[in-house]
Amino acid sequence: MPDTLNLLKHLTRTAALFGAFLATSAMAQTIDEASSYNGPDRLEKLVAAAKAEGALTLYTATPVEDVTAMTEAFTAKYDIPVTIWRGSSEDVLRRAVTEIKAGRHDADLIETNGPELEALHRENILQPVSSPIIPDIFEGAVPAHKEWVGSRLNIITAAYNTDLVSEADVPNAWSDLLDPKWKGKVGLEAEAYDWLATVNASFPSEKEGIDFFTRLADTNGISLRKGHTLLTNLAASGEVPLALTTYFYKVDQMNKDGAPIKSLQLGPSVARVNGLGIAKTAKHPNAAILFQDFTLTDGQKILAERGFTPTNIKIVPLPTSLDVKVVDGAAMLDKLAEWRDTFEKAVK
Amino acid sequence: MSLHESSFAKSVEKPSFFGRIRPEWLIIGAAVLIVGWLALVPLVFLLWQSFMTPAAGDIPAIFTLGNYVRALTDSSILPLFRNSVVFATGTSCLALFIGTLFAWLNERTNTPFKMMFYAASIVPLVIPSILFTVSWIMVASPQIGLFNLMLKNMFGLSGPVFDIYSMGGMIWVEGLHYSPIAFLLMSAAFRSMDPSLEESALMSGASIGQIMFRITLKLVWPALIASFFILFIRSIESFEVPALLGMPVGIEVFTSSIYEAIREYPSNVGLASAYAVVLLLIASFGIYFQSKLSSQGSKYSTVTGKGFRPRPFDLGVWRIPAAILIVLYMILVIVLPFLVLFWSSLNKYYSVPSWSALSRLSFDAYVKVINYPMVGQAVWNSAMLSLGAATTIMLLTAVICWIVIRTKLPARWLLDNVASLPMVFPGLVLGLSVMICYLYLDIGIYGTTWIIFIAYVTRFMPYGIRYNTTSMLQIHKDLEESAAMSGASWSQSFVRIVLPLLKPGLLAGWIYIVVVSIRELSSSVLLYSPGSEVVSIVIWELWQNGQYVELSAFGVMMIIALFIVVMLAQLVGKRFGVKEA
Repeated sequence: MPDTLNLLKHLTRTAALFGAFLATSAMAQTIDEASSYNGPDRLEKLVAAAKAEGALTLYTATPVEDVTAMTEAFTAKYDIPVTIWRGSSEDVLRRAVTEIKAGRHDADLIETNGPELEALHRENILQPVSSPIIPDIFEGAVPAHKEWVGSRLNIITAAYNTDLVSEADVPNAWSDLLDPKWKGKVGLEAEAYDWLATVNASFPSEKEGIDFFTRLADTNGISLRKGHTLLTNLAASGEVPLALTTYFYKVDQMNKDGAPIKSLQLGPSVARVNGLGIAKTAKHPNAAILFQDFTLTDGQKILAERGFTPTNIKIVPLPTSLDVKVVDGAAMLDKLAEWRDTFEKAVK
Repeated sequence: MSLHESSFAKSVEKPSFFGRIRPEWLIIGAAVLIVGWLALVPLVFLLWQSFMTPAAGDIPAIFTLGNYVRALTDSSILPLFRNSVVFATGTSCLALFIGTLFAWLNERTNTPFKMMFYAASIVPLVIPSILFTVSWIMVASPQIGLFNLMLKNMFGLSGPVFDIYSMGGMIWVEGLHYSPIAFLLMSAAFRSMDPSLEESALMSGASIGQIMFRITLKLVWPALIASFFILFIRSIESFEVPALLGMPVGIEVFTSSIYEAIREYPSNVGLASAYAVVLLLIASFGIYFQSKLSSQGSKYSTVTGKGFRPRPFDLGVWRIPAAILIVLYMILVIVLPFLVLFWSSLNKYYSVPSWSALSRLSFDAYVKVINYPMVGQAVWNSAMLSLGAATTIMLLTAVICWIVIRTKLPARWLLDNVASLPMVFPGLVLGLSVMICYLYLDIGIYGTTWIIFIAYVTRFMPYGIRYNTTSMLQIHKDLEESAAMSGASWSQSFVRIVLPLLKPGLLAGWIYIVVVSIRELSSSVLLYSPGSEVVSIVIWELWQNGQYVELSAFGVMMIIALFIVVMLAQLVGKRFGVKEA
């Protein structure tokens, strides 16, 4: 039985691959041309070709309300309808890779987190695009291979409950947290491996950073909570008076809604990059490139209005109050297991 | 003599070719083929993956035994496994005790508020477990828990009374959350039990306790075992409660290692599969043990040809304490979480109930949820999928159970086992196997709602098997034999005798599958496509974005909708099947 199934799989796979081969060889010319052309009439050509394609499918890890705001603006401007598939950053990676390897080319454009985009690059799925907008983008948000471009930063900062922590008690430096008054009051997201890796780099040496967090866990204890948004909500409800890792925009939004929570600069603010890459196998490559350009220009204001931190610093400058350090996606892919061990040894 | 033998005897009398291919064999054969295909796709995938290294970029996957070596020799797994077993045993015992007690009170006695209670009992099952857990944090956390604050103020205590962040707290929350599983299954068993044995015992002077332990529980032994088995497997796999309540105090369970293996890049599905194979072996042992019970013939069959009328048992003066117990349970498990949910749906952000918060309440969240992108489509798809999957599963597994229990076919134990295995597959692995299967086997299913339907039928088929098996064991084969003697065909006796007598089990299993398939996330998320969104995707979306207020509002609406569905199902069920006295 397993043998027959595998044979069947093998046969259908061969057929699918053959079909894919035929399709890509016909398409290769257009996507390479479209992605490398940089002449003065680039935008006009792109718009005309995109309108001829007339459709676009986007796989995205952006919250559905936010991504819909973006696609509606795009459709209003160019009259090209966008189909959205939404999942977690890992789901987006898994679905795109599985489908494309099986010869199903639904996805034109893939929008997800930095490490997952880097994984897509390694899976040989993305098409490098030379766009005149790239020089305006925040330095840490574009990889050297240019197969994807960061469109927004997800900034992670500390936050505290204003009912439970008075202004005078707000810590100013890491060492303040070792004071016994913080016993049992500090929370951290349970899988903040990339956060630890990035924050740790701001300590004089790697060892000093890890020693500090180990000491904090030993003296005052760190309560681990699964999920950044849960941790943010628990901080607002008073369950965790001081949370080290909350989404900056979420705290801001809840603060505006009247929740007793405020963000706090403690060490650097860690930024996760979210970006877009175009699939080599895209059926609508011009529309995909046009959407990427749109997100990096007009779309940046939409993102800013919705509380995100856009990467095109020429259009929306970074908040000056924050010392932003970007997570290195490629390094996180290679060293995830190592950082997980370090994290578990230090803070558990 | 079983029906299988009797129909075989008939076919011998008519030796013509068409005479031998009787229509029932087509139905039975089709059922076996469908169930076999559905169950073997993920099983083959799981076994195949468990021997493969992860593929990344240009490095292909190759054969390895490393996953098993790592899964079985990793010393850090052992304490996690121990935690899982303690947690699952505790949860199953608590849920089984609560579920059985209330099922007995509700089905076998004349306590008040029966029908209402049956429908209300599914509420904890409907509340997404994340919300159920978070509402218990609000109630019993040492820092902000409402109960702790109240007790502190009332008695001037210095420390908290309850600590939800402990193994006890985890068992309590999960046990309450899962108690409807036991309640539904045990209700079905109690409902198809002939009361004459209990009545005779009462006449001979036995006390209620004696009757309960010596007669009632012994007769529903298969149902007790089946409930324990389902509860145990579900709590071994459960993720939310350990993550939310155990993790902050360092209690970790086995599932987190499956989860971590999948999350790595390249995703280590192989290691996760190897862990799952270990669980699979444990579960197979459980299924084998259960099938031993079903081969013990008619030991548990009380539904016979002799005037079967299920009748409630008069509790006499005990009616009042029983009613108080039911009300307490309803407050603790149904009303309280519902109120916490309702309270938070009226707020702007999650907060503990207080007078000062009263002024901030509004129904904005409900408006927002109704206008949320894709909600309408998702509700429609989920309704179709859950009703369709539940009906298909219950009918399909009724045939399978009939084969397993009534016939003497040689490999029937295997059939039971194969159809029950999907219960143990991690949802994500099952989703991935279905996804890959229909991507390569391109028959136009991929990208449609049908692929989710296939995944649901596969995933929840084992529950259909367990619910139907327990009910079928209680039906004596007398009745089918008399029908056959009177000239009824197999299809006639199946539709007019077996299915109506199975009704309590069919209905309970149907309700269970409707509810859990609406909440199914881990395989839906991989399989849905634009246009085939389901409700669990919306729930996940709201949870992921931290929109707890909207999530609570959505939860409240879901509870009300499913409550109505269950009430309707009961009303329809009353008109069909055995008349109750």
